[in-house]
Amino acid sequence: MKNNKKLTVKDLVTIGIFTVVYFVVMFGVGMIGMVPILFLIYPTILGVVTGTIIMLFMAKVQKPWAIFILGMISPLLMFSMGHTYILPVHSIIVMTIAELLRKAGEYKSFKYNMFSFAVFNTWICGSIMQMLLVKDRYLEMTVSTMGEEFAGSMEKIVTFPNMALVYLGAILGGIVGAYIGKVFLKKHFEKAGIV
Amino acid sequence: MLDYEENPYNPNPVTKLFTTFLFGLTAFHQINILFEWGAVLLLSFIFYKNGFIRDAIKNITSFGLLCLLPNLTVIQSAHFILKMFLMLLLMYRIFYFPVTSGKLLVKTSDVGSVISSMDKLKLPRAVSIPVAVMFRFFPSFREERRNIKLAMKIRGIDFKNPLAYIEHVTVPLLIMSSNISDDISKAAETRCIANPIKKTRYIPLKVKFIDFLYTVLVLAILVGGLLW
Repeated sequence: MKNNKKLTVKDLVTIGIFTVVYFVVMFGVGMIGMVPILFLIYPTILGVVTGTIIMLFMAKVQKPWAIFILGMISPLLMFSMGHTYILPVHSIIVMTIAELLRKAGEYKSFKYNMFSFAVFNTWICGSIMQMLLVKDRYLEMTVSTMGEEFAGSMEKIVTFPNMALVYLGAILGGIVGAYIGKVFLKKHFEKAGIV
Repeated sequence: MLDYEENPYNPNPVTKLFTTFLFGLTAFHQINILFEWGAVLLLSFIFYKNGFIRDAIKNITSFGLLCLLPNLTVIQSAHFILKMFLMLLLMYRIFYFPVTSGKLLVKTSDVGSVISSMDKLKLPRAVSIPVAVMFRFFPSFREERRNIKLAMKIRGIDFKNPLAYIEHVTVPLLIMSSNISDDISKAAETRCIANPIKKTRYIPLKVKFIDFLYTVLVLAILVGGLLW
């Protein structure tokens, strides 16, 4: 086949389907974000849970731009549901890196796909980043209601250095998720002839 | 819900997306409280005219309650855990407008008008096909999820072992999604989506008076609120 490297309609349909699965699972996991502070480990858990989905997707569609499009639809959807423009902009950067990593492994190598997924997984940190950016306004409100002490402890938790830890958690979660995905691929999907 | 075509008070999805973006700015720059109320009433009006009376009322009351929140002195002495939840509500207060505007977009737009607005915006096929597929897939996804839950109940699988639980949910989910994706792509192939020609849309996209009015009002609220 000549145009092997281009996305066909079949691949685009696969992207659509997997976005839905990813999105629904993401919201399911997102329930834990209801408990404050736990949302800081949300990216890690998300990585572990969604690893299988994305690794299967990467195994199915080994073509350029596939992961980029899949990764951009969820932030755009979340944008249209009321997140700020920080999220899509942050995601473009993340997805470009993930795409380049996949390209380095020629879209096939597990090692590079794993790193690509680990980077991909950090896109959700954008939603925490936007909280960081409204922090000043937020602190103003908390000081007046909950007292200096509480607002101070909040300020200590949500900081840029701690965000780095969140990113690290997301990457680690991504790697664990990718390994779980690899086991599942071997155990179930190859047998069923899906990949 | 009235159709997009028949209802003169339903802005087109492009307008709604643009205003959601504008409302997103309110998260970073506080606007005057009076203008905020103006925005709430405007959103409620659009909800009401599109037949979502409950949402219109809910919008006004919940914003009123959120406004009361920072002024309560009782919270000062409240328990730590309670404070945590109030914190979440305050966060919601900051993102109130983008979230509500997004709700408006999702609730009042039907699939046809969304797809034809993607056409109008000249989005590449790489984006419009996945989005169209997503709309088609959501209902069957819900159905399949119920089947998986039922099957798990019959076999007595519960949340005791989270890792096994994840396995028992994701594996059937992914296998059935792969099968559906194959089906849809066959259907798409037979309709010659790979080699498109100019086609007509069942729901054409129109720019109505409400589109101008709504955009101008939202802009006025933002600019006025920032300058006040």
